[in-house]
Amino acid sequence: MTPPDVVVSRGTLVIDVDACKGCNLCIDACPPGVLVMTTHQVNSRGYRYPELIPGCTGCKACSQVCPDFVFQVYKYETPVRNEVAMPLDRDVDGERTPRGGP
Amino acid sequence: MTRVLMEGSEAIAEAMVAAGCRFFAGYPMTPFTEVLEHMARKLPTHGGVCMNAESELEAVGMAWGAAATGTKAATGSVGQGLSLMQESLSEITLARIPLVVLNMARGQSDYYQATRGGGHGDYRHLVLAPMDAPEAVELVQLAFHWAEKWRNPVLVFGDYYLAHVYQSVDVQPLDFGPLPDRSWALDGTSGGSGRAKLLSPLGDVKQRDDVGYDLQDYYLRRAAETAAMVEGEPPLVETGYLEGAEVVVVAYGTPGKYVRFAVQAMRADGLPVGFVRPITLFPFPTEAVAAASAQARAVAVYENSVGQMIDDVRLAVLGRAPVHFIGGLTLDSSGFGIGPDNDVAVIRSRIEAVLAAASADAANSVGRSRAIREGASQ
Amino acid sequence: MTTDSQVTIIPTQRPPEQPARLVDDFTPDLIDVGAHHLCPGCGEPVAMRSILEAVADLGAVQRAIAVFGIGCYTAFSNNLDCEVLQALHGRAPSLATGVKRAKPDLLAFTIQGDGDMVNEGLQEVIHAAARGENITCFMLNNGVFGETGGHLTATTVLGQRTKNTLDGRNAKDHGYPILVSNLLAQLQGATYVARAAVNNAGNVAKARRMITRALEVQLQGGGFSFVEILTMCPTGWFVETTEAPDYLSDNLAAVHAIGVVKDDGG
Repeated sequence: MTPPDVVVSRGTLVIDVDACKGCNLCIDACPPGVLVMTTHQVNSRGYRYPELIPGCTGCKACSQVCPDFVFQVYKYETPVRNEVAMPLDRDVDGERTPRGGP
Repeated sequence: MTRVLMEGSEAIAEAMVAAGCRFFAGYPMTPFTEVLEHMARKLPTHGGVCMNAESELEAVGMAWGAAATGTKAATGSVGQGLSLMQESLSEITLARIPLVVLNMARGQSDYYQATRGGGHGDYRHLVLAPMDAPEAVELVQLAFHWAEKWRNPVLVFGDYYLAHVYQSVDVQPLDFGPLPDRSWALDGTSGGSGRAKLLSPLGDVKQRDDVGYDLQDYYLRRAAETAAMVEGEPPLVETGYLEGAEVVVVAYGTPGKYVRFAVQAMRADGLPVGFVRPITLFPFPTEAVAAASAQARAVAVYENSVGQMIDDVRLAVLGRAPVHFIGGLTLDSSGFGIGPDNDVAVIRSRIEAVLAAASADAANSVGRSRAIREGASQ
Repeated sequence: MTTDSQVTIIPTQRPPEQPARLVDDFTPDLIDVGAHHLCPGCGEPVAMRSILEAVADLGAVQRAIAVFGIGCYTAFSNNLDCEVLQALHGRAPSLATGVKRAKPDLLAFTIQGDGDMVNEGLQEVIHAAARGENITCFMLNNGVFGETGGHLTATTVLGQRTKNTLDGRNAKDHGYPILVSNLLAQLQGATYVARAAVNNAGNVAKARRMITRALEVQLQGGGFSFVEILTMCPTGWFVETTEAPDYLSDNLAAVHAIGVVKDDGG
């Protein structure tokens, strides 16, 4: 069995799910790629919205590019270690999997 | 009292400064140009600003911005330049911003523009029409007072004569009474308070889902405020020699002064004529004209246009007496100078013609009714 | 559900329990309510955020007057907690001029779109710049009249499809775009002219610096300052929201080049 992986998060977010209009700009803007759009879940307005996976650096790229003021960004005083059940593979292009898919 | 001989444009500028105007923007056009020149010279000496705008559109825009800060502001032009300003004037009125606007008109063909408004929407401006410089000195100051009292633009309707005739005037600041506060004005201080001010033709409160969005409500409130202004400011009018007048002559502005003089001279010769001189073109002195016409055989309208104020006269007279147009365009070949018809003898002869016709009609109708009675008894 | 239930999702409904400091709030102080009806992926709120953050950081909140033109961004004026003077299409510079000349201590800035400033109001901004009016004009440039549905403006780039240039703008029928920052920079009265973009976090940070500099020029009495901010308009550009940032780089920024065009400020 693969041992659990540990990913360090230096920051975290509060996500105002209902503010989101599903534009996806945060996904591409996030340098560590820790934002993933929901696939089946939608908010009260019918939009898919981002969720956070471990590895946030608190860089606030997401909040700065978001047109809908969805994010509150925090930086931990001490980085937090998250155990992840499944290691996040990277394919040859460096893209993280899994991602929001069809 | 210190009377000084000065041209009307300067008297108007002095009056604006006396009224507290500290911002003026304009663009040269005859016969408004001298007002701009005088303001450019005078305002800075009183701590004010006079802007030479790149067009009339920007002139009214700059005045709009200055007025929005609570500064007493004015602009002006000729009817042609006011045409450019119409959209802005409509919106300034909707935004409830006080502003004084001068039309130093060429002739009197801008009556519709002034009183109906040339812009879009349901709005009204109070309109004052001085007949000469001494009256202009008073009415210009009144205009600033009304503009703030009602938070509405006020138009002062002048002309070439007023601009260029030299007359001795005594410009003293006039006090027309208390004014409401200027808490609506923008000065930045409500920023960050959670209720930062808005000055907009679209509303006086923020329009968002959480606070409510209703533009119709705002327009209806504006309409109610306009109605209150119209009812709350009785028309100004000068009447004379109406007792027993068979012909009542209606005229405003510079021609009003000529008509007044002609009527006075005719009365001295025993001719039963009177006059009504609207001083506010809006609200129009409907009741004064109606009352005068009720006693008269005919109403004559003298205005330097093809006939615009005559509409309001007809509405006021409402069929009580026939309304005759004795005015007309009268300019020199430049299109904005002094026309030959503004002459007491010319005007008098036209009034006499109406008087003669009215008397003949009266005689004819007496003859006709006698004939009818005699016919009936046979 | 996310694609794979085994991916660890960090809870993001509440602030963290571990000690942490807030580095970016939902909205800056001067935005009352973030919610608006601008399209998903619109760059304008991002630009507005930068501007308001700059005003607040300069400590100028209680002397700021934002003069708004007319465009999609006009609705956003209702979300701001700074004083707002609403102008007509293209006419914000003359109003801002009146505000600043009457009350020189105020921080007067305009918020206008490209259609507003470069079509309707080109004369106003040119003269304001030429006179060296001590105001700051901000132009949100997305190359379309967004509010009416996405039509050609004077800044639309060649080849750009809009609702009334469906085959793409071509020089013969529609002429060439006006590069307004470069135009204004030629005027002696213009002190600071810069072009920014909000299509990625790096550009947003750069935009913020340019905006701050422009406002500082005004606060120092340095004359006319101008920042053009390229914004995404996926709706007007007929692209997906995720394609809009690249569309901006490849099409708009290729013509309206990002950077400081002129800085004569002290």
